[in-house]
Amino acid sequence: MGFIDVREAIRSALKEEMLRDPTVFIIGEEVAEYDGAYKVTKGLLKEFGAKRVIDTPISEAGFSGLAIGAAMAGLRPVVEFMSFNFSFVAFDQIVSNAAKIQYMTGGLFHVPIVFRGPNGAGPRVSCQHSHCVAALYSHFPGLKVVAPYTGADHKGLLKSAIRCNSPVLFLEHELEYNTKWEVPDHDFLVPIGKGQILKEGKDLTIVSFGRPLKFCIEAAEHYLKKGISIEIVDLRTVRPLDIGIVLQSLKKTHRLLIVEEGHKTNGVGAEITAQVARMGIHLLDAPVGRIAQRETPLPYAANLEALCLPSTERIVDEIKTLLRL
Amino acid sequence: MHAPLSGFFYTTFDKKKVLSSIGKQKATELFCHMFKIRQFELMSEGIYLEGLVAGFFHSYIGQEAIQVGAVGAIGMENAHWITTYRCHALALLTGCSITQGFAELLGNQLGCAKGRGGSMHFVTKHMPLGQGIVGGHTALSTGFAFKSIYMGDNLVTYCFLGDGASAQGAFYESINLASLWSLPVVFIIENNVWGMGTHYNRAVAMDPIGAHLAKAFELESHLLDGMNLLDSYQLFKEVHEKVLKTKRPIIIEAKTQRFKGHSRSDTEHYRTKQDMEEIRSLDPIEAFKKVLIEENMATSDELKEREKQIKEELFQFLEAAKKGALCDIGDIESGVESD
Repeated sequence: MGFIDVREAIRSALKEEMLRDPTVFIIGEEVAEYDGAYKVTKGLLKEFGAKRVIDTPISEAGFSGLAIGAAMAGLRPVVEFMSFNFSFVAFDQIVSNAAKIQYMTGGLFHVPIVFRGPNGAGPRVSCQHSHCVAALYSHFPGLKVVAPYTGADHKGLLKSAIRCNSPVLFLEHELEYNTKWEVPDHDFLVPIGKGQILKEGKDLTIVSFGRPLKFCIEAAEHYLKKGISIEIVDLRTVRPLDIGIVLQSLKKTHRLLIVEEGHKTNGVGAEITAQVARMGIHLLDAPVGRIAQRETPLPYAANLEALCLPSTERIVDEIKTLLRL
Repeated sequence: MHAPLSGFFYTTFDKKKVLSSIGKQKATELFCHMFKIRQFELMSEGIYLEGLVAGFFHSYIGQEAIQVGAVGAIGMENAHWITTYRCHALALLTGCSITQGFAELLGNQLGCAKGRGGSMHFVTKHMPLGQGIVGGHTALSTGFAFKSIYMGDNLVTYCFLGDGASAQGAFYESINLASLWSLPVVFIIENNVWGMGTHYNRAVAMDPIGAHLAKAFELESHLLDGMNLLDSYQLFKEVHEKVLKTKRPIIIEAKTQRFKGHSRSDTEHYRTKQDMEEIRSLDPIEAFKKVLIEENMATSDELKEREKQIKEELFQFLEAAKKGALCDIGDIESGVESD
């Protein structure tokens, strides 16, 4: 067990899988000689060589398509997007090809590929570099969308993603790369599609994934001092969605708040709400609350940015409404 | 005539030399492949009109000499073959049986893609896809070629695209990566003049397309008379050997004509009756038949007999395809993803 940051947890997953399987390779902008735009792949070029850690031109459609083709041909590429916002340039490759090829070839071809990189809002990077893609990509059958929070989950889920025979979008967060966690040194896997209870409670359930869980925990600590206990469900995977763990939690708490960094309209929270309404409406004692990014491109101005993103304050306020405090 | 097949510098070969290297038996086989594809397309259109086939349907009629020459020269197992939604011919040449082909059009479980893909998405082990999004497959083709470098195998990837795809960004990115990284991939622009109803001179700012692209990306290119089977065969044979040796990509532009509309739903108001007469006079199958007879490789009667056989076989294969089971419903959402 080591105390390491998220960046290193990701790197150790990459390293272990590359040592285990010679078909695994890394490809993306600045991943090799520059050591990664966020230094996630630092040292990997030196260790594995230019054949397996490959710098690309700024050509997302080209190198994503190349990697998807390589995956169909039997390799296991890990594609780094410098930001998931740049994945939009490769959208056709991800959606028309990666997501659909297994099905449309009647199972003759598979696409074992991971697209990974920072997702959501970096520090004041404004309108075109801040989108959270979780809801967007989780719309497509054939894609899996993973968004870990803890250090151990970054490692264990990435290892599972690399071994998965379907395309996985692995969503990291720039502002979490430096966060330190206890992460086991040994080879372990965290299964894709299983959520976890981060914190037990009985008065209200918060469901979230990725970085906003940090604010959920702070809000829960705030209420614990007032004698109110909040359960926190970390989805870890957005698609497939572990709705079972949400329903189980609601059996205890009967109140639901969903927190996500992406937009509210047609967001992950909308899907969870619909599934809960279908399968667990009898469990609810209050309307479902949702905290999401406000419906604007993310503004640059510090005060506007803070108001638009999910925050501890916004969560605390919403809980107050839901619990009628 | 909108696009005269003259005035360009084609890569051509001495037909007698090529024919003698191919030999009598194989030459007749190549003819039969072209004829089989033509018949498959004609019969498929027939069952489309009967209402047994639906969706988009893009016929390869008129372009047969290109892919028959390519696969005939190279052999299906020596390459990865990737193409567009106009994919029936390449699939039939690379392992899809006629029955599987008809069954895919009918949309039943016997189909090469188990009825999941339809006309645009035929698939075989050697031909990973017919791509529905114009130009998108060019990027995938670089991935197959990348795999050959990574694994050190001796396969070359052949990626067919249309003149229309020559205006797509993915294609430019793919040529750049292929040249930058010396990937063993050959791009074949089948220039059939029309991107749906838009003449390529109204869509692509260069002519010939392949030669200009190749120059920009520091590659070798060839202009092929896509109606000439022997030129096609010999060019692909030589290009294959060259790519294996140099590992450098090559661009081929094959000038051709589709005899049918872009798809079944095309009303073809952009081509006159006279245009069509001129286009049909370029028929690659008739042209090759003439060569075979003139060069004493086959007699007219022999070829007629083979044509008759093929037609009869195709009717039997169609009947077999019609007997295919309805697509397995099973769990209706299965087969989409893996663990």
